[in-house]
Amino acid sequence: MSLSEAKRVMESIESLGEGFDPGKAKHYMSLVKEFVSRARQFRESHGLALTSPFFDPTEQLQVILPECLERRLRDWETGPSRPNPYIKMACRGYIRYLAAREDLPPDQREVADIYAPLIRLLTEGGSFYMHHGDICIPDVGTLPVVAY
Amino acid sequence: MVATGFFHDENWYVGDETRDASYSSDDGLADVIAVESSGGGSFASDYSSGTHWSSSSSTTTYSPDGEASVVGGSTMTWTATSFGSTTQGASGAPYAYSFSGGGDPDAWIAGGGDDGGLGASWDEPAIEPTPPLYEGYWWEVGKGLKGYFYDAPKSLASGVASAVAHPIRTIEGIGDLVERLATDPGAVVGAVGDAVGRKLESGTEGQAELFGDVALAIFGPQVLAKAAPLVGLKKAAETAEAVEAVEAGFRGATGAGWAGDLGAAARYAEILATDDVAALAKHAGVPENVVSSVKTHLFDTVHEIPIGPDKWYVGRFHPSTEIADLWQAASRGERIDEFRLLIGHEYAEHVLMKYTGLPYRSPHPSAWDEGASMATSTHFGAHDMAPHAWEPRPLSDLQIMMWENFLGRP
Repeated sequence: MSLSEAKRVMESIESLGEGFDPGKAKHYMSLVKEFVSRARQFRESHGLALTSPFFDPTEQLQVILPECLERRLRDWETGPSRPNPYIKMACRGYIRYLAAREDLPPDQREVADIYAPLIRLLTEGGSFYMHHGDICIPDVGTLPVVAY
Repeated sequence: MVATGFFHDENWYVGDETRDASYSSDDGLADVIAVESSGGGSFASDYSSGTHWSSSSSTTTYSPDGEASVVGGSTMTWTATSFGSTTQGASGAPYAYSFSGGGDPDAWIAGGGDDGGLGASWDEPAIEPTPPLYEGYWWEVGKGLKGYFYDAPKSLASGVASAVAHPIRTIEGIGDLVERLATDPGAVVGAVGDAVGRKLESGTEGQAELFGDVALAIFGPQVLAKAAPLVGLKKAAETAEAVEAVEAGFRGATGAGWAGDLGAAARYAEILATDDVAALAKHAGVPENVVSSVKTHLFDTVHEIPIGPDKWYVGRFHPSTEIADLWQAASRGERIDEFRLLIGHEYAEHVLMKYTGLPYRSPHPSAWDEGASMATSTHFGAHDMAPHAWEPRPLSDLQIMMWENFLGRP
């Protein structure tokens, strides 16, 4: 398990704060597009009938996080920063991915890395949530992701 | 006696149906949401100034004696025989309502002026006054948002503005304002004056006032006339060749995108079939008509939604498990903070879309960048202007510029 990396990311998640930069609007949107692209690639490579880009790419691996990491994650999820449900899904999904990465077949390690762009978005001051079939980046824009 | 800040607003349609009526007072004790009547027309009255407006001369036959809940612990009873059938359309029309009930009449009934008989039969206080709901509502919506709505009315003395100036129901007041504009748009727009420019320069509190002020003006025909070309306002019906008409709900995956949450569709149907508005309003401290409007907007209304430059989707919002979870949790009294954020966003979005014709987001090519809607200060939609769902962050500089431009004040 890549626990050291998972713990490092956990620390960065716990310290998320201000820092939104309107000048990075296109950059923020490109990170969301990259996330959707990665999620779609995962869906297609596994032939899954996933209906939303927000899912746990390690769901089939029965990942059990170390108790201390699980507790930190839970404390952050329920703590004063009150992350929205989609940020929770992304962060938990990424931590689980990092913790399980070494257990993944080598050819699957990259394709399962779907949430890295969103974690980067958060650490660079952005935010996101799903809204009526779009991914919304507050004060930036929306990316329609459902099929019309 | 006259009710200080007591505001009465009614709108109904020809035919027998539940009318949309509201009564409010500055202290938040009076807030009646609906009574029944038949007839048609609309009128609004500010009893504190003795001013009356009417947009029609329809005849209204009121229902027999009835009773309506008054937010704040009071109950209002009206007596049909005291007015029976009355013709609206003239100042001082015989609104011979008879009120009785509890609450704290002294807090909202004071001397002077013409109240059209209002308050004449108020009994001594029978119920201890309850704290104004806004203390539990807008404060909980979040510090940033609170100022935008709660503080805004303080600088507005106009009686015309009193529907919006009502602190308990400022967001709801936006809807009321729309009705008021049907009778006297000039007065509402005029109430704003040049305050927007001054307040932008006066820091956070000034910006906080801005939202409330612009809310007073956004629905004025003069403003809308300026706003429409700015946002590329075109109804889907006007771009029929570009419209992709889709049945309400959503289709399966096409391979190009995601199918959407099929499980959530069933949850939305379940929510629509559930009588939960009263419980949600009680848990969240939000007027029932606000919850009801948001419920319809979220789960039932067929919208025309831009999904690309001059390309539209016609259907309901795509269902979301998270919204279904939140809605049903709130109906049990859980996750109320998040629910209030959702309500704040959706109600503002709903009002902007329904009453101004503003689209959910802009269909203008300038607002689209490689498949993403990137609203600008001149090309935007109701979703972009509304306070954020899920996150209690204040309106951004970009959003404030949108409001300015929407008002034709670049």
